[in-house]
Amino acid sequence: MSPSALLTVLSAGVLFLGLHIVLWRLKPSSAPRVFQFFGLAATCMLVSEIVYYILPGAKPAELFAILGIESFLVILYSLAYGSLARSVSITLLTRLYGEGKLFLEFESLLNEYLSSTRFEERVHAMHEAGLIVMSGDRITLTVKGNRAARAAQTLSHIFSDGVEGY
Amino acid sequence: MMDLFRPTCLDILAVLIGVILMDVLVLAFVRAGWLSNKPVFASLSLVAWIAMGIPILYSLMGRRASLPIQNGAFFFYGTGCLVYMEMRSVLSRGYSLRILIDLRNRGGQADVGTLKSSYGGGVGVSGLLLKRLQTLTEFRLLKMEGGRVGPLTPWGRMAAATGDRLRRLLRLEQVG
Repeated sequence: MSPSALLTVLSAGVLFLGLHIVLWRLKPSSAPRVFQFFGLAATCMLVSEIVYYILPGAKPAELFAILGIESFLVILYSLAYGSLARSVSITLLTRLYGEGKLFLEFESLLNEYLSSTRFEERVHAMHEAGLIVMSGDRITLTVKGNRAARAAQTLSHIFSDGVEGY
Repeated sequence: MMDLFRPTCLDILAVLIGVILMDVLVLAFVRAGWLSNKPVFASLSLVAWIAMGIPILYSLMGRRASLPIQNGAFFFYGTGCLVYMEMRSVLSRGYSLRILIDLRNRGGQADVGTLKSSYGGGVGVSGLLLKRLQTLTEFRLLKMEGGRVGPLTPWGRMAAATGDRLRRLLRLEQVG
């Protein structure tokens, strides 16, 4: 790969990371914002392809390589971001981190988790995605939600032992 | 231009499909009881199939692909493998997906309290937390004895500090 192609990848990475941090800090939310995340990534990738293409001496084959490397890095970063945005394990670790070298009783940890709105946040995100309808405390599965659940059950029987969820 | 990329894209797709089929076959053997059912076995076998796919991909591309095309193909193949691994993980451990399935199993209607207490086919949120804590203990990130959780090990403190700082950086406050 040419130095200009590598520099393009590096610049796109810095641009994406910078914009991700700035945009997420400007508008904090507990929603994972998957579409915004991948939209931002796709925009940065497109910009880097255009910038490389207009550089003197650009080779079409290197456009393919740039796209490949950037796709890989975006997916790798999305896995890390997904863990940060959704991982229960990280939440537990950070909670225990606050206790220093002490321990917590499981019951108190559980009560703390149950009294938080974390579960409700997920339910609310599903409501916003049109998978369920909320009416007060009552939740009803929509047609779209039913299809998604059925598809997940089918796929999970092929690729794992069913959706354990824990 | 398409003549340059299309065969490579088809090569990548063919190898990816091959890896997925082999993985599904191994999972079917595990379910049938013909192979070890330890989770680490399934993970190692997937990694082995992915690694085996790399030389196959290069031999499929042969001499017709230039070095940048080969580099791109290698990373696209890696991307496909990461997507597949993540899909498998979500299908097995997806929290929100499980809520959706619990709701479906209850005839499509329930209240939040019932879903919380019956989460994961009856294990409840306590079962979820317990399983995650056990996994963290297996990875030696924390100590757990009876009902006592903690303290974190030095690796656990490092992981927690990193997670905490990154969440603050992105202002992800009420998550997980």
